[in-house]
Parts: sequence; C-alpha cells; structure tokens
Amino acid sequence: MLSHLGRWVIEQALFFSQLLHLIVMSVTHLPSVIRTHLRPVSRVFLRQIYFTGFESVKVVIPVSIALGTVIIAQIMTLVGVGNESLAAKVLVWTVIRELGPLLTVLIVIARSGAAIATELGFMKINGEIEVLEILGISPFDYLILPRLLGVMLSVFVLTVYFEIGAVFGGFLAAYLGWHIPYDQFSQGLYTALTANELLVSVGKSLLFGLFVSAACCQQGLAVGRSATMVPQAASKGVMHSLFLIFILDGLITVLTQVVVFTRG
Amino acid sequence: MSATVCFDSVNSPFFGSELSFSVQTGELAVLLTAKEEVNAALVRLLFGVNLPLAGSVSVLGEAIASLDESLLFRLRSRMGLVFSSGGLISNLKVGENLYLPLQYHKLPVAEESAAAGEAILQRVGYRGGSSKLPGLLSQFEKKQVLLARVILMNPEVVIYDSLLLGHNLHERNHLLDIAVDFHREMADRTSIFLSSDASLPQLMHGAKIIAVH
Repeated sequence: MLSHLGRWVIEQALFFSQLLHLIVMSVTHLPSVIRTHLRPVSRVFLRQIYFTGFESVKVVIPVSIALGTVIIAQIMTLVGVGNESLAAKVLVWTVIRELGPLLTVLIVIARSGAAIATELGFMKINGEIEVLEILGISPFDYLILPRLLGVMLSVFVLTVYFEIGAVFGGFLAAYLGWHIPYDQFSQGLYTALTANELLVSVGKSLLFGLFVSAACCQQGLAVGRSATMVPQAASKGVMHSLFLIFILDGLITVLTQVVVFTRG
Repeated sequence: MSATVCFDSVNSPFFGSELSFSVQTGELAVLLTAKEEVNAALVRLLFGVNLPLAGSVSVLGEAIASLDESLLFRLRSRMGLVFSSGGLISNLKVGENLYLPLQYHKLPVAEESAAAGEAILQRVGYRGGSSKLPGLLSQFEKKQVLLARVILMNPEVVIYDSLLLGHNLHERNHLLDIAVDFHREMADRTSIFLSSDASLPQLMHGAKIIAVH
C-alpha cells in the first residue's frame, strides 16, 4: 500500500512539475510571440475567448442569478427579518470569495476543458502537430499559449459576470421575498466588498483559468497513436482540472488567512 | 555549386544500409525509395523531426543536429513540403491554411491579400473556394492547396513527398507540371521528389536520380 501511495505521490509531483513547466514556458515565450508572431497567434486567442468566454455567458448568468437567489433565501430563513445587511455580507463572502471563481471555473471545465484536450488529442493523432513543426511553427506558441491566455482571461471575465449576476439574483430574492429595498441591501454589500475580497477573487479566477487550461492542453498533447486515448485524455484533463482547482482554492484561502492574520 | 541537401553516412532503421547523397543548389532530384514508409522517414530526417542514429544531415549549409529549437524552426521556414497525405490543419479553412506559414514567419510576399491567394489557387487549378474546411476537400484538391501554400511560401528548398500517389493520369500530369514549372522559376531553388514509384524518373527528364535502398 505504501508503494502505491509513493507511486501516486511521484506521479502527481511529475504531473505538477510538467504543468509548471508549461506555464513557465508560456510566460517566457510571450514577449517573443507578441514581437514576431502576433497576428496568427492572436486569431487562436480570440477564437478561444469566443468559445470559452462568450459562449459560456448564457450558462454563467442564469446559474449565478439562481445561486444568488438561493443563498439569500436560505440566509433570510436563518437570520430572519431585521438582519438584511448581514444577508448581503454573507452573499459577498460566499460568492466573491469562494463560489464565484469556483463555480465559474467548473462551468468552464465542463464546457471547454474536455473540448481543448479532445481537439489537441485529435490534432496529435492526425499528425497536425507534426505538420505545424515541419512548417516551422512552434506548436507551443501557436496552439498552447493562446489557449492558456484565452481561458485565463475568459474565466476572469466570466467570474465578474457571475458575481454581478449572483448579487443581482440575491437582491431580487430579497426584494421580492422580503421587500428589502436596495439601499438597505446594498449597505451590507458595500461594507463587505473590500479590496481584499476582490483581489482574492481576481487571483483565484486567473490562477484557476491558467491551471485548468494547462492541464487540459497537457493531456491533449500527451495522446499517443490510438484514437481511444483521446476520450481518455479528455477525461483525465477534466479530472486533473477538478483536482487542481480545489487544491489551489484551499492553498489561496489558507494563504490569505495567514496574510490577514499577520497584518493584525 | 554547393550542396543544399547533404546526407552523410546516415543510418536509420528504415534504410538497409548507410545513406549518403547530396543535392546541389538549383538541382531537381528524385529520391527513389522502396516504399512510402521510407519517404516519411526521409521527410522527418530532412526537417529535423527525427535525428539519424548515425551520420549527419545538413540542409542549406546547416547541420540539423546542431540547431536549437528556434534555429531549426527558422530553417524550416526556408523549406517547403508538399505532404503525401494530410498536411492541412483541419480546423482552419483553405484560405487560412494557405496564409498560416506566411503570417507566422512574416515571409515577404508581393501582395499578402485575398487576391494574391486566389491567384495562386487558380494557378494550381483549385476551384473549391477558400472558405472550405480541409475535411470537405478531395485528395486532389488537398494536394492543390498544399502546392499553392508552397508556392506562396517561395522556399529555397522544396520537398515533394509522394506527389503523384493516389491520383489518376490527368491529375498526375497536372501536379507534376506545376511542380516543375515552380522549380524553374528560381535558379537557386532545389526540389527533391521522394517517391517509391519506379515510373517517376521517366517523367522527370534531366532530374538527378538517387536510389535509396
């Protein structure tokens, strides 16, 4: 059992180091790509933004409004009338800090994660990666880098939409269910909505987007010569992404608490 | 004349014995192989996708094995390949496939415009439209687009991998005429045809024939 555990730990460490290598390469290649290959790479980047960002809006907005409604309804049932500002505060703490980035990236993983791994996997099997190399086009610069940046930016923007939608849904529930006026609702909202909360939300959304896209790209490119490996790569990409975001979420939460604690 | 492409005692699992040959600048050569697998192996060696087990490959004066990734990609931008199959990116339209290497390498072209691309597609006889995806093209149409892309890139070295494979007589003559005319447009252009078709040398008058055993 110890040997299985050891093997698992080594596999995860190897996987994580490959991910970090992919991310570091993207950072180091970015200036030269902008300088020399901007036009074709930016097309891939915009396509990724359209598919991951724009087309996910119609899922993110209704989910966020529904979530905001549910949260406020549950809180008002717990705290009762008279604690409306507390309800808005709890909404901010749960959505802005945690559920906003987390649920947004879960939607993105479901829509785009498997699709990215599958697309790259089929390109690998059909020899298109080799075609790019023979044309003198770096597959990393042309395929991976724009996907990393596109998904990262999309998750960030979608998270903003999610949080706005959740607050709107929460206000709708408060107003229609408990006749709470906006100025009363917003009192708690603006009290809880500090720069720290927003910074944590931004940081989480960017990191989630980056690691999810890196994990799915890595799995897609790792496909061998058999077509049966493509759905396996898609599945592994999704599972690794889910694993990563919860680990990252925990790490960022602990880190922010340590920073807040040391500041006093 | 200096050697543009040089194989020096190259050893590979696909060759029966060590392979040594050279193709001079401006020459038109046919590498006659035993089977298509050998062509694919030669393409990988010429473009540095694989390195030989022994010996050396040099193209345009550069020893492939000594080049780092960025220099290798730069060398590949000076070479063109007409693939035997595939060769197009499946999620890009014909027009996008045509211009991809040009835009990526910022290669000089008289007019990088839709009109220039259309003119070259007409030159190779392609009538399918530039907004089609490769999956909807016939094999002949794909070969025409690949030829058009190479013509647009205007490389110093052109490799044709099994250019005539899978085409009827009319299509074979059409493709060969375009390839030979393109070779003659530039005095320093080196063209190498990889083929396992023993009848090809008879169609290529004046070409240097190199047998790969």
